[in-house]
Amino acid sequence: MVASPETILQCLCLNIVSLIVATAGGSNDDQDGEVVKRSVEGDTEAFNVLVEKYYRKIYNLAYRFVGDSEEANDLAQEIFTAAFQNLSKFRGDAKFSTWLFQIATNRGKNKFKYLKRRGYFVNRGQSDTDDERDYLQKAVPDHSTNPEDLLAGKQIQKVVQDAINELDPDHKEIVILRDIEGFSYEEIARMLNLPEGTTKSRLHRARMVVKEKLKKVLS
Amino acid sequence: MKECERISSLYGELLDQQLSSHVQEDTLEHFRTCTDCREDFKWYGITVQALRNLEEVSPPHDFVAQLSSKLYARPRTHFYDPYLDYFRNFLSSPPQLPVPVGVATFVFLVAVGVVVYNHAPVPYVPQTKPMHTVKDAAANQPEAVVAVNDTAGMQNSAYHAPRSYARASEPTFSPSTLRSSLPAAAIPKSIAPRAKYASGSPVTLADRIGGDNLTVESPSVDLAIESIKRMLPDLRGKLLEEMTPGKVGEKVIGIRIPSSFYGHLTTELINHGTVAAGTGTDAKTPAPSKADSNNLILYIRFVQSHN
Repeated sequence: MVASPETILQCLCLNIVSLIVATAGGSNDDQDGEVVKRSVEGDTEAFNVLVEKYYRKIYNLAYRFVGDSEEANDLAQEIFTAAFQNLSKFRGDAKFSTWLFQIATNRGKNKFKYLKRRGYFVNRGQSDTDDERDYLQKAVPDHSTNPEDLLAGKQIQKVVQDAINELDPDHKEIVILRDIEGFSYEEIARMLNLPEGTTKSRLHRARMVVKEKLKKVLS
Repeated sequence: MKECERISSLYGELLDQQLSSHVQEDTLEHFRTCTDCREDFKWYGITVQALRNLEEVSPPHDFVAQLSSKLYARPRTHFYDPYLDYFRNFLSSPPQLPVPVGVATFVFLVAVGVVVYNHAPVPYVPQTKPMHTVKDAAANQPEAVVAVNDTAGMQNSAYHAPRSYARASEPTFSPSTLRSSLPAAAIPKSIAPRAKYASGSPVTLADRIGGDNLTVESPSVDLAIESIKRMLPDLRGKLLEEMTPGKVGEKVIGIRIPSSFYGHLTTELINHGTVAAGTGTDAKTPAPSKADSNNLILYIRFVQSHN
């Protein structure tokens, strides 16, 4: 038996509220200003502080772009290296985090395109075989009493990640920035140099694609 | 159907609670009547929640260490790095010295070459006592003009001194010595010993005189010299010096005469014996040294003829 959508929706609303609260209270980019300034002046210790602060998020973003730990590690290292080398070009017009994630998104998109051209995702996309789908469908009722557990289940995580992998780069970057990294539409529009309306419509289309994948597997 | 598409485009804003109240009411009203849209929105919500619930993937524990080693293993800037690289890659790649090393090596090799050259053994050059000149040629005292030349002794010597020592022990009869004892205008350039010293061969008086002067081989050297001395006033010439080299029966006189009287002088010399231009192996065409445009400086060597 599939988990009741109503139950999941209730849980969803609670999570959204907590996410909004966390996002509103969690911004501490003002503290970056001084550290960034010292980094630009060549203080490697200051740059290390920034690395410590952002490397988990950047690694996570990298992983969502490429879907593999090793490639994500390479990509995240590449992102920080690019940031370090271009630190003198950071003018302070935007927040450091915006600038860093802009680099990360560009690099991630390029890396994804590169891997896709080399057929990296071909075999990985075939992972949701019939057997696996059966397994997922059987697994879902076990968590029906707790939708959060259902959504956090390892297999669901994999299905979602596979769905992300199949998105085209322009949709993928927006889903990652908005739904996974939690940036606002305004910040995303600035990072990607897109109108806010375009950002919203792309996000909607991306979600609809992922929704169809999930529906196919879980129904 | 169009209404369903319109409602579908509002899913995101509905989830984010960004719709105005009346639009939100309209949407919810649509959900009550349209089962498909209601189901679709529920799955949309599940999708968004699934995306937001994706677990944060942990980076490798040594991520920061890896990054630091990449970031701070920057190209080295020490001045000695190219030199280290040179020796490090000496066997694996064609060695390419940095320019400063090339220049320094060249300078070093030149310096070593100069030192070796200066300390290279050369044949011993004997000391020659200064040749004393007489101001008054008329006095013509034998002891007044003395040149001691131990050439013979030098030729038998097996001693080879370093070049720097040899230079220090060069004969004191040198152009500078002669110049100090003669009027400046009276010193022909050809009197300098030049390359003879460097070659290591014995230095003869003929070398000192130079190849463009005269040698007179006469059965009576004294008579010939006296004859020349006597005719000098007629030629408006002047005796500059008279020297007696080491060899027995050999004398040298230095004279200055007007250029126009060179023919008269050689005619007179021929009367006293065989005249040859130059001396030894340096013989050239009879082109005497010129002191200036009007006068000649000549050194005439008189040697005893044995026939």
